[in-house]
Amino acid sequence: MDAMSRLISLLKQLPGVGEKTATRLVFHILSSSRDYGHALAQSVADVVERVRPCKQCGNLSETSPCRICTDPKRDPTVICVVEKVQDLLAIENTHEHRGLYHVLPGTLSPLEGRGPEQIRIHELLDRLEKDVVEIIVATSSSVEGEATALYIKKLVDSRGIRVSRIASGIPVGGELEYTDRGTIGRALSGRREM
Amino acid sequence: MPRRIHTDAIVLLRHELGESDRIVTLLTCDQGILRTVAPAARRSKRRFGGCLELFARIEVSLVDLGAGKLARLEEAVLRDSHEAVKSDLLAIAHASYLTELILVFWKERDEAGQAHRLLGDALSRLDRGPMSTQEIRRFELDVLALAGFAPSLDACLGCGTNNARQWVFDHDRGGIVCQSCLTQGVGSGPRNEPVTPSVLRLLRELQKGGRVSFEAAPQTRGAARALLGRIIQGYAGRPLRAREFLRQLAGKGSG
Ligand SMILES: [Zn+2]
Ligand SMILES: [Zn+2]
Repeated sequence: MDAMSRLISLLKQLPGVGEKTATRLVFHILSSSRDYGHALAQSVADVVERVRPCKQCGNLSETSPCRICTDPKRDPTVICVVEKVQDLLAIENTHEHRGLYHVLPGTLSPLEGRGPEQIRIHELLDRLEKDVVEIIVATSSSVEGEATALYIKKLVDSRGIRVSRIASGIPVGGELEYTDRGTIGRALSGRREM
Repeated sequence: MPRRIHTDAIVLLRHELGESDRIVTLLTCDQGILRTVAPAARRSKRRFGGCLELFARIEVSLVDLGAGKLARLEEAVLRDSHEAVKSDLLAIAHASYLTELILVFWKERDEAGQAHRLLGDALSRLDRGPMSTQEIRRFELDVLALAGFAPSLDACLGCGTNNARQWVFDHDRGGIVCQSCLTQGVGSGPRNEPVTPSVLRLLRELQKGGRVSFEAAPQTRGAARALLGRIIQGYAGRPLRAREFLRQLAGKGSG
């Protein structure tokens, strides 16, 4: 396969990119300066090489622990639990949460075979040894998101830590990733204790 | 030939499709199980709102494009979201298990009107909290019966007696065999296992419906659960995921 076809076929694997768009992107790269093309290639390589999940919270970062975990201005007593890094970013954009995060590798899902052992919930429990006073569960309002919240509540109950759930307002079954900033902000500030 | 359908359905499964769509597997009351695509369901709540949640009972309009193709969901109206089920972890686990049982025994487009009623009733029951172990066993036996796989528990498959001191369950033949037939080689296949009289009595009473007339010991209930589990797994050809989930929950002291 020649270089152009190869790049087109690689780009086509990206979400939302079909043959037409991939071809247009390749022509755009070719008609831009050589520096741009090299910078783009280098940047993709850098992301692949350097970005890793943070050992503490699961956020994607070039350092571990990540920038959020090591920020002295953040409140380590409040941990917000999300089901994917995109949701962490969506919440960060609201500037409503000044605590830390915990990114689960997805939600509990009995039908998909994801139980407590699969979503590494014990890693969250290990973090509670320090002086955490509140866990905000910001998983989606789907059955799986609710199951995850209920399970966390059950595990943490005996430790005297407040567990709160982001308020409704996030559409039922909705995903944080696709929800606007204002709605997420209101859902966070209006969270209720479980 | 595209066919427009308006029907009642229960949401059995949902998967993401591409950037913004969802694949939603429905148990309809008169068209069997249908796999449908709900366009833009993940990004926009305008069209489907919260209708496409697991376990929801909905009224749908869809366009059926024929076997092997995803039907296209046009409209959905929520009839019952089973909010109460969603507020109890064990009830969620039970609803998931019952749903998986339906998915194991009914394939796409099989006639499933009775399965739709059975699951619908069970989900309404779960609105009041998790089921007892007896209720779960009864659902398993009901599913097996509706699917045509009711275990034969009344009499020996070899000689027809219903009175023996020792029994085995023969998984290959789907029923019980008495000890004396077993010694003559009936039901002596590799897939059989002993069944105690108390387990047999419990399963027989559950299978007949109505109240169980005696208080079964915990080990009897456990053995009945394990036997039915192996029967179901035999037909499914794999362990059930929601059952493993229930096991993990129980391991953490939650039911
Ligand atoms: Zn971190
Ligand atoms: Zn016999």
